[in-house]
Amino acid sequence: MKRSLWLVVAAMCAVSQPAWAQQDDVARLRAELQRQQEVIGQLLKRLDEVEKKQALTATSEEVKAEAETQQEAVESVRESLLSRVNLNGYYNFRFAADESPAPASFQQHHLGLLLGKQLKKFNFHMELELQNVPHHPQIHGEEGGGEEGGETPEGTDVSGEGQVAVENAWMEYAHNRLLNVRVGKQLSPQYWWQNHYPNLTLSTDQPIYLRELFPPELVGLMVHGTAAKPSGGSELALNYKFYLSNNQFEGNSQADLRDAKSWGGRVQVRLPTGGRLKRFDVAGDLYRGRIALVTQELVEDHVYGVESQIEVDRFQLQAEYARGRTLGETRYGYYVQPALRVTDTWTTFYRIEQLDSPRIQRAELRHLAGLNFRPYAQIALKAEYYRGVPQQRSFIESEEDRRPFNGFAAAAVFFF
Amino acid sequence: MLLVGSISLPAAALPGFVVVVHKENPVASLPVTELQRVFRKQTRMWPHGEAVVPVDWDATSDVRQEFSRRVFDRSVREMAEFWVQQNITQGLTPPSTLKSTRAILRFVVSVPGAIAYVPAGEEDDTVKKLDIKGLR
Repeated sequence: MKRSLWLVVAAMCAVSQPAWAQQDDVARLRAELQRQQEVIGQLLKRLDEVEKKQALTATSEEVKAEAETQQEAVESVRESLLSRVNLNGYYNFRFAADESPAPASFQQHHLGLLLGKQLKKFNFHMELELQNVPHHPQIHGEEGGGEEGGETPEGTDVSGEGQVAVENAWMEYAHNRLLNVRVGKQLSPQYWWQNHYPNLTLSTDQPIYLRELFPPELVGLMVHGTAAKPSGGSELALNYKFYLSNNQFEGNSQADLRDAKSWGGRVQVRLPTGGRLKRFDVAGDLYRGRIALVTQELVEDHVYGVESQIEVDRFQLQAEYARGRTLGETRYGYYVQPALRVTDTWTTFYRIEQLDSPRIQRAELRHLAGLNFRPYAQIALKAEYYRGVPQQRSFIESEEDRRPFNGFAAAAVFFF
Repeated sequence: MLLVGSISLPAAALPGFVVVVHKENPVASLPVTELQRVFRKQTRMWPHGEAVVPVDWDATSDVRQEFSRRVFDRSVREMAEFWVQQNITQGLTPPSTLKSTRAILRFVVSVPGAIAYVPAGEEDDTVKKLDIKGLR
């Protein structure tokens, strides 16, 4: 039995390895495992690189696609910039009440549509104005066509449905700063006529003197331009406008056909600004034309005027004076309007104005004070109080027409 | 004293913004009065015959406010009122607006007559900087 046990032990020793031999195997296996791990690491690294390369390829394609999209967007913007037709407009609703025989009234004063197109050196502009001022006697006789400033013969359109008129329709070629040519129906070049729109004026109504001096508009040809000399961040500029047009266009197409033409001009000096002085403009105007009387006879009509606009910090001053002469009779008028822009949205103003015209038997001095609230550049709310003082003139015969009167007006204006 | 002394600063030295144009635009500098006319759309053509296409920033941006104050001596609000006046009387609309430097640079790169401005330091070599003379 003992011999058998020794034989088994001897056999086991013969088939098994010694301990030092097992340790060598473990070390070899560890080395192999480490090498395999390194290989796997390298493979993972290469996999990352391949994946990164694939990702980069996709990004560049995306960038290219995006660039093309953006290019198209830019081209689209450019296209729209160069070919866009501009459509805008404004709306003015007014309430007026005074001590005249006319009742207090709400007036849809203006609804204007503006259409414009600019193509390189050419510019087209059109304004279609729809007026709907109820034709109360006071307005009919004294306002003389409202904002248009013309005279409406008594007894015509009393429907209160208003009228549609093309106020502007002109085409302009801008050769350079010195020379521009504009043809068509356009506003007279005086400051208030150019800026008489409800969005651009502080008051709800225009100065009374405008009714009888320069014509509000002209149909013809105007040449204008500017010569300027830089002066610091500003410049000294000389603007000119000269025009040749039909006589007394408004409301009288027959006058259009007559041979005699009117002509006029305007020279404006824009003084350099700086510091608190933001604007200092001085201008002189001249008009020579013929005007049709009730008999349709054309008579000579000469008007000249001066004007100025000054802006110092929040203070603004506008003033115009004009004097006209027809058939040996002289008429004149003016307004002076100081204003203070209290905040960005609130402006308060005062205006003194006068008209003295034997032609329409009217001589009045008017004081006007008001507030203008402009919450946005496109919206204005206005309110004003005015007092009219008829002047003692021989041509004012009615006692009623000699009495001073007070009035109140308010308006809401929207530009769109 | 009404006159303001003339100063000339290279565009890169301006703290607030730089005026940029298309790289092939031959114009290298502009008086600030001409820059005013360009952004008021009163100058319509470059001397080399390309149509001027000014691009402005969104009205709420800081750079727009600084540009308005330093170039026009007016607030953005006053300029908005100016454009209402121009729109009604001249039929002109304000320049189109964009909201980022990237969009503006992209536009200027793509449109030969374009002119715009970006915050100083944000311009790149895809556009050309203009030297503005007489800037406040």
